[in-house]
Amino acid sequence: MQTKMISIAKDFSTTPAGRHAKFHPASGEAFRDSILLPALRQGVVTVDLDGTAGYGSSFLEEAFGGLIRNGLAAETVRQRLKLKSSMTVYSDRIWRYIEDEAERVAA
Amino acid sequence: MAAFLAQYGVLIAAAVAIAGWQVSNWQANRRELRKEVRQDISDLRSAVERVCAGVREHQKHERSSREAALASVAVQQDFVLLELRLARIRERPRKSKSDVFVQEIRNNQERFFDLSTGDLIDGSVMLTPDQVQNLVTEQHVTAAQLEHGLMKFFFSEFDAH
Repeated sequence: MQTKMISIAKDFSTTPAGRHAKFHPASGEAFRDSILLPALRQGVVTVDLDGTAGYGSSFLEEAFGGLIRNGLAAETVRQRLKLKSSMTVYSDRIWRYIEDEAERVAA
Repeated sequence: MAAFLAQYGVLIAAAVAIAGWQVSNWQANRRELRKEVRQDISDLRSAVERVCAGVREHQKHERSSREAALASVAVQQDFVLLELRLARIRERPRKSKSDVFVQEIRNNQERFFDLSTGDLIDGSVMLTPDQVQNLVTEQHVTAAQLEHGLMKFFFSEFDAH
């Protein structure tokens, strides 16, 4: 299984924002569908969150919580997704969005 | 007694002076630390207020406008400052009785993050005026709880016995 490193700032945008691609070119949906989801289907992915102008919860929820809504099993996400961030609030929230969505789907 | 003082008087005087200096030095360090943490908390409260103001600014503009996008980025940047300052408070040595306040601050910070940077300023989701009002009210309540938690932490660390 391959291991890939994704830097949001270098590989996507330094100003990620918004939930849906229709309204924001650098949205959570765009990041998930064009970069994150294909990479996670291949193997282990480390996402580096540093280097951007910050994140909104709508971007993070759509990008990461949206993985579950788009058919990736919660267990697969837990096993394959690694987060690197100097801001623990982002990584803590991302895991919370993933777990909330996993609970919602399981209910 | 006189013989004892004659023999050890100088040593006793030196020991008293050293002990006094140590107490005075500890108190001075404690005062400095108190000032630093107080300043951090004051900066944090300003950042919380800027986030609330940024969301209000965002609400004034057409949701797909450049001004709304700039206000949204400004809110995200204020959150970076907020997180860095809060990390300093979380990571500094503290009394164990303050742990409960640090956790309370963290919970409110995360709630505040969700409310301030979510659908209110996302622009993708069309909210009714009532929904906006409810979210803004909840955001302000959470901001007040966050600030209150910071003050409780401060008093727990420096003013309680």
